[in-house]
Amino acid sequence: MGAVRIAAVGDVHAGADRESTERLDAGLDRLADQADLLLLAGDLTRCGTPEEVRVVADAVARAGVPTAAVLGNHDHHAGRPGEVVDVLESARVSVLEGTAATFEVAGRRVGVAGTKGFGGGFAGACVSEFGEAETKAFARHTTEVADRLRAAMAMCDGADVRIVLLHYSPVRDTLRGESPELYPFLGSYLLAEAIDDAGADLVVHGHAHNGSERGMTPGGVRVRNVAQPVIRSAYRVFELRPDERPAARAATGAGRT
Amino acid sequence: MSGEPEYVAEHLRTGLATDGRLHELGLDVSVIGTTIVVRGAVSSLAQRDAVGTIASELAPGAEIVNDVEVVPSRRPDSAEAEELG
Repeated sequence: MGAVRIAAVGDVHAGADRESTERLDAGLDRLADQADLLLLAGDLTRCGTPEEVRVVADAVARAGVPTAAVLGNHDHHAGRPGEVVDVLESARVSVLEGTAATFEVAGRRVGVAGTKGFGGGFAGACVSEFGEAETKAFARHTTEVADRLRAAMAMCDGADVRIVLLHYSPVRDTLRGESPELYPFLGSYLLAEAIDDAGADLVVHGHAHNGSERGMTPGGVRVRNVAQPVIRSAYRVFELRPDERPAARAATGAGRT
Repeated sequence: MSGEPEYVAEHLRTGLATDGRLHELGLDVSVIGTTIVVRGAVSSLAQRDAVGTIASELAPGAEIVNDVEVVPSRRPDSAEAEELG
């Protein structure tokens, strides 16, 4: 069998205007020829309004490719994330938050586990659940989303291909280019730890506009930052060939390489 | 324009992030004398124009150099697909 082709992009930051519609339509007009599945890695909108996300939902519907999405911090800004999700789901987009969706594409079962993720930082420079209530709430949210990611990944057991979809980064690698002072607001190692415990074939995220494209978790799972300012195109396509993996890896389902 | 350049730059960066006409968090602001240079990327021409408008409002009298680009969103060629095995 041929490869499973996964298209992914984050941070398209659509507005409720014609320029955004034209930009999305032009970028996605060949998507169905190039990919079996589209992943949207958060920050679909600028302010998180239903009007903005309608632009994205309509463009994705016209593209005609099964789609999964997570929300990003911009999609929460207006305080209407439930309405944003409703608009996307009305366009048959699977919106993931501590949940997983399985797609039958190219003759394979592709499991996608997703969460927005959150900040908190990386080994040696992490926020801890200690001190003021505000600090504890920040740290606790990261722990909660990492726990939700673990639960979501368990739902992907048995899939031929396992993908993790995030907005925030699980690793430092893909933040190279950002100011180090910002790292605690761009991702958390707790996400990578959850991914390594379960195993995955690929992680995609956005959020870090000034970051780098390629990275790897400490356990060896490939990570790609698909924020549009980083990939500088409508989307990236990743080709995965689960049939050609070493038998031992396929048998255990481990994502570590 | 008054205040130390570092404060001016950060107040402007905050304004660009929080102003409802833009909401862009990833821009770089430099203050050089009475000139303010804004660099980075946005997702539309209208947003690029909003950078100049907001900067002029927040720093009246300063010369604004709007060096912000609109992120390319062209469709990729099939040959650009990354083979991950």
